[in-house]
Amino acid sequence: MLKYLPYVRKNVFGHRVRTAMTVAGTALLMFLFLFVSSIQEGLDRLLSGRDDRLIVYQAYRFCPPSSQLPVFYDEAIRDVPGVRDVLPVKVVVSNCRASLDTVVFNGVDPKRLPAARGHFRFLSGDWSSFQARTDAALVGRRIAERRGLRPGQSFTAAGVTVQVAGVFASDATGEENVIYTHLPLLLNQKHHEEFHVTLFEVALADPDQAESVAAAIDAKVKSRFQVPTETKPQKAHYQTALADLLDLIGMTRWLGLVCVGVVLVLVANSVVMAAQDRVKEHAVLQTIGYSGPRIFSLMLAESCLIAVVGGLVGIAGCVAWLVWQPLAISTEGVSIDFVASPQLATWGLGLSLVVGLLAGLVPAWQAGRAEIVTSLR
Amino acid sequence: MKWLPIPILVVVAGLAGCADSRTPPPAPQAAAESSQSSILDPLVLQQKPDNAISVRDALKRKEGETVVVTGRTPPGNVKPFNTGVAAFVLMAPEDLAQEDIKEELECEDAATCPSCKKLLDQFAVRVELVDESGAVLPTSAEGFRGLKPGDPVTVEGEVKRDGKDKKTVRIVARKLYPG
Amino acid sequence: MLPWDYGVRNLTRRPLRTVLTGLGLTLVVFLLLLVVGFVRGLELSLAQSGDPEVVLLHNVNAAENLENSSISDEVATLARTEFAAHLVRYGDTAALSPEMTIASRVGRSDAEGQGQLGVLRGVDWDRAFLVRRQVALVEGTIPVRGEVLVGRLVPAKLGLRTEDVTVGSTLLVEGRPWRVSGRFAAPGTLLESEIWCDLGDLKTAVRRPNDVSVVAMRFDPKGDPARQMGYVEYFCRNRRPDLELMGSREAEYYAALQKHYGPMRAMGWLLVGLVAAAGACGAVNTMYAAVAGRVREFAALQAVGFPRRAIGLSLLQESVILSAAATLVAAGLALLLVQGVAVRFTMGAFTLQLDRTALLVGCGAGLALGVFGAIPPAVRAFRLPIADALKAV
Repeated sequence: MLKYLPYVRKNVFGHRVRTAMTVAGTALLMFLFLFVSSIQEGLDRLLSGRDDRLIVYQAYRFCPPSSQLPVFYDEAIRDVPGVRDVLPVKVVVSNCRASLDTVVFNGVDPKRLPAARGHFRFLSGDWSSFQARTDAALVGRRIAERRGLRPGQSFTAAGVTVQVAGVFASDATGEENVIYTHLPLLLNQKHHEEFHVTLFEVALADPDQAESVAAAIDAKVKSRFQVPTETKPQKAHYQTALADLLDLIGMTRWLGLVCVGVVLVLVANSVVMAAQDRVKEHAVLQTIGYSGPRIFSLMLAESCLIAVVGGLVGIAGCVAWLVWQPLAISTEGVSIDFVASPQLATWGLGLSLVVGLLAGLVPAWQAGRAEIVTSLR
Repeated sequence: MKWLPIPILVVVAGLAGCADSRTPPPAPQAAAESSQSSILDPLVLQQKPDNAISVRDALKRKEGETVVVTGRTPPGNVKPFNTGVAAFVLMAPEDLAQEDIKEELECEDAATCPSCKKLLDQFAVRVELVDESGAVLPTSAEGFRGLKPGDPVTVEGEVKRDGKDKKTVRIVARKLYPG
Repeated sequence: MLPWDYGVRNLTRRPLRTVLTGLGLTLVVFLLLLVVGFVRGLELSLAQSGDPEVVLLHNVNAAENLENSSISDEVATLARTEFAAHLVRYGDTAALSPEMTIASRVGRSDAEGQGQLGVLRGVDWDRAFLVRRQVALVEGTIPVRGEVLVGRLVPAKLGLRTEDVTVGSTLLVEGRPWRVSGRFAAPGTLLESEIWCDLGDLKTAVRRPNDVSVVAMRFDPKGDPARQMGYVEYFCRNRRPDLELMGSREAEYYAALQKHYGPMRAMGWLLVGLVAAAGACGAVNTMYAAVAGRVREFAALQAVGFPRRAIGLSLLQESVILSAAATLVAAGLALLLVQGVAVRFTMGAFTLQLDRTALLVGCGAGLALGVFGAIPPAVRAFRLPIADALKAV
């Protein structure tokens, strides 16, 4: 089949305008397809992430400012069997609503953060520069890129002013959208919230005991204190926080599928036009010995080539854009990155190939079965 | 196939209906010129007092002290003049000239953003012009004798300290020198 | 001019090609209408939610997220006195409503632990409707203690079926069962996705006995708006700075939210642009093919006296008929399947809206695809001189 590639290429480039329009249309739609799929990929990564951590949140609450747990819950939670460590976190967000540009501050004890986040890779700064000042901040790579933040800069958002002490990278999904700062800096914001945090991160001794430890924490808090808690594995916590966006992301999935449908129609139309224009040519090929199945495979190859080239251009464009301009959609303090991973790009390319095959199937079959005499006339 | 023009006519007719109607003309502006001059003129000093202190000094004075303060109203984004009553904000020109303060106050939401509010609480005094009974005068001071954001103003009045830590300063003024 | 039938007949010469192009255009226009319907639904719900006469007193640090605002209980009493000259009155009662808004988990009473984010608003029943003019009770009664009034979009917001949230059913709020006493309508506003209850009831349930979220006031529309806001600002900044208050016109608050959603709306329009451009490629492709095979025909028509303009118009006619038919089908499908569909969104829900603007954009784009799809091929068709074109294969 490869020896016929020059012939296929000649036919494809022989009709430059038609090919260019089909490839352009395919590229645009595959760009769109990959773009909406990247949100789904980001969501899947977030929800398939670590589950060795529990999040203790105020019961029935979603928005970070509405969850106010007294700091002294720390000791009670620490005493629950199965709990290895507890990290109180005060979350301050620039906006609870869905946004492409939310700033999320996590206020923590600066001495305890290195142990809790030992997997951080510093792109600039270090732990000591973060611990040196009370208004120091460690900025995640993605938000640093989005906001153009560098060490030494002052940055204000959500009524909080910090000095950037370093930029970190992390493999944990969503973490690179967060700015870590000192807990007391965020605690002094309002009067009645002076001694309240948003959540407690609980590191487990045995991740398999997550459900039982979570239940034990909630039961202990309920029996001793007034403000009830709801403890969940981190994955489940994210799922709850993102519930309102799931509808929207589901809608974008349909958008992606319709885009693929339009690509199918576009490529099919192009192949039909090509087949109709070359009726005589195919008849001549058959008279000199080319079989029907060979004609069929040549048409199909043309269809696949156009679809794959268009897909490649669109997918490469989308990946390049997301690398140049990293995006994340956030709500309730949780962020979903737009992730155009190599696996997704490969899948998109594979889908282009499948679309090329499906689009070319019927016209190629018709071309392969045409009667020679009728076609020559 | 003679029916085929119909889809085109239907879509064109639909688009004609879809086109947004013209925006109605703006409502006529409120008539009645303010009696701004008649309300504020009695407060105006004949000349600028010599003993005026800066806003920076006024911020350190005690509750109840009578002071003569000279300062400058912040830029327009801060909306330093109240639109309903004779109240406005004054800052020291030296503070307004500082780069970081200038940058902060030049932002679009300077009138409402919490960090700008913090800045004003720290570096500004709030002035209110009152009558004999102590009630604030019911007219904006903006535009009085050409007063606009960024202009210098001198006032004479009593210091009041407000806020949680009594750190924010208000001047209840009965005398004014625009300029 | 060439006969009208000539252009129409040409579409039927290659039926498969025409059908495929029409199908592609239909999908493209449908996609456009879907995305524009989402963007317009969001824009309209925000625009209609803000009453221009309503002024909100809220915490100075919660200007962008009123659900996070917390102000002292006494503000309502103070405001009633302070702004007496500006408030709309119904007899002795001023249109002033203290309210508490909180986002909490709400679900069916038989599904503990499975609720969704619901927005609760605690109101004073004697005053709320004096301020919230967009709200009307459509079914049931005003709640008493332990009961709630739900907006028509609440089932969509909670991911439930309409029949799960009827009058008499029970919802689990803050771990307690609350009976649904009635339903309200607030068409086109975000209020319609909220759950309302008695203010005192909600304060007890969330353990906030001493504060509310906002005090909503309706100011006299005949008054000078600048002067009214001047008095509000004076009260907040000069008279009672200890209360940490700020006043905002409700319409401006929602306008700020529009701005907040600007990047998302811009992304929606970017998707619209991409889809339209892809559709244009398909339309141009088809017309190029239509022209490529008819070079001799066009030359012959010119030779017998038809001007290029007439032939060009005929090409345009073919393209526009196809795109208009596709647009009609797409618009019909969209109105059937998309219009009014409720979408759950953060802190609320809204319905997809195919309003005048959406239809103008979608149908206009569909027709434009037909127009611009014909121009490049028509220009190309007339490049060759007539004599050369007659000899073309």
